[in-house]
Amino acid sequence: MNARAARIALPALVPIALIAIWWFASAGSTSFYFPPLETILRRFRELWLFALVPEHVVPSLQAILAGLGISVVLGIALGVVIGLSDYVATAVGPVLQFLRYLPAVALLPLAIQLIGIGQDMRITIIVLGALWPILLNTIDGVRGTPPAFVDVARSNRVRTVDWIFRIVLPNAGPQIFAGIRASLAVSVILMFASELLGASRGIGYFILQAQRQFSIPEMWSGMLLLGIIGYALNLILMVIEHHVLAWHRKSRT
Amino acid sequence: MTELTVGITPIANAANLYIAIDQGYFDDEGLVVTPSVIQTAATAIPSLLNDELQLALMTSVPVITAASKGLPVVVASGNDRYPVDGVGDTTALIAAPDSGVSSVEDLADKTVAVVGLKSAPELALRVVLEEAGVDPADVEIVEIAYPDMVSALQSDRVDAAFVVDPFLSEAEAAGLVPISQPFTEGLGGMTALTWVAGEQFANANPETITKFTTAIQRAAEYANENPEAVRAVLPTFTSLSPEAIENSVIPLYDSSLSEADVENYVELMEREGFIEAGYDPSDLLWKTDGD
Repeated sequence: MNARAARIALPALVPIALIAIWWFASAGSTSFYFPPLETILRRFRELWLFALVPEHVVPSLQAILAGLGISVVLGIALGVVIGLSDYVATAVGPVLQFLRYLPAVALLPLAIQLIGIGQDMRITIIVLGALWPILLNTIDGVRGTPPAFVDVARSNRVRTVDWIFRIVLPNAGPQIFAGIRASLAVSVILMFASELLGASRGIGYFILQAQRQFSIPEMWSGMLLLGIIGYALNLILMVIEHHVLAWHRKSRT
Repeated sequence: MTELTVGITPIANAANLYIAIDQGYFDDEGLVVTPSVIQTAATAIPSLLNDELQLALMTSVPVITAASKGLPVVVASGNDRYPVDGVGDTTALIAAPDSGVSSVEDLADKTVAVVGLKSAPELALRVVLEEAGVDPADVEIVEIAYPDMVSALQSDRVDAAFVVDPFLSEAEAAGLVPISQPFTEGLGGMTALTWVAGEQFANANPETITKFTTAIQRAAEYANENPEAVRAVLPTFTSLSPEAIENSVIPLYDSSLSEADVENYVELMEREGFIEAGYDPSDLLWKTDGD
């Protein structure tokens, strides 16, 4: 097997092996809580291809995309503003660290009181959690602009706009994307958590409701779906990153 | 002496259990009963099946749902019934005065909050909607916790909400108006809470179950005859204020439970899509002789 084939085959092999083990270990299972994988997959097909997609998947994805989108725009914009000034960055540093470690889920009860139980609340909660990794990574990335660049730019009187968009941001790119990836994971968690309270739609709500109704295969199918969605979103993000940071790889080779 | 841990929700409907303890009815049967607070039927049923709890008090809806999905539970006894007279009902469907909703008929295309979907309140709501000629499919039924219902109504996020006391009193004080009493109008006279056990435990300990239901039956009779005794035990296990207890309506305790009671529920639940058609509830009621 050549190296390229191995790189493609190996990551696929482990999941396939795990699914096979699950399939055979659970086949004929009479346990109420651990139904056969066959049953789970059958329910998965019946529910998620694509009967319940408009009702439960669309709202969840909307919340993630809106929340993450706002976090990306806000995080990068604020990050550049803060990161460009040493004084500002030093001054707000401790506050940002504090906010970062305040779990956004802890704000759920307050958010429900203030904003209610709609999609706005869920997007707000996602932003409150997903903003920090992007913001802090952007600040770090911006502050990491090599001093040599600063000198060259000053002596050439580069316009601020060009400075930010052609030098600072591209230079901070890899770090910003690392932040976005961390934020994506946070967004999926917060989407799920916010749907456990006061929702009547969404994947999180579906799983909770399935558990309450003792619909165990349905509950498993929802968890499977959540994992697939998280994986797919991460994959999409990696593709975007691959294209956006294409220059970065070239500059290194 | 046989020790039992039983799951209850701290509401007036469970007062007969405390009366049975205080009056020594369990002692008479040789039982030592320890109440344990449960959150929802969804968490209590697994506790019954792994023997953390031997019996639990819960509404018929989740029990029938669980049994229809194949969980081995049995109903040992009734506990109380939904009121047949609105005066004895401490729950109501309420609407904001300026919402344009003044009766159940107005609820088509509106949003109504209940405490849990596919629960007894939703079942009762659906029954009154249909009785009023409104198709439940045209009503958006959403789930909101009781403490959040009044603010949800005031901020127009929902058009009506199904609340229980003490939140009903709070809602009325805030100017919200009752438009229906779904438990009375929809499920009046039907069995409300029931005592549920795991099938395995019940089959292995038939005498214990009989002793428990005998004591509960005595307590139900005593509670119905002595409402002041119910008020006296309420502060010991609920967080109701003295005023709320003073004003509270005492539930109608009734430990009788017939196959017809269960079948009524199964029929309603099938009609409203809570369970799949074809569930046979004949084994749900626990019978002393074991057949």
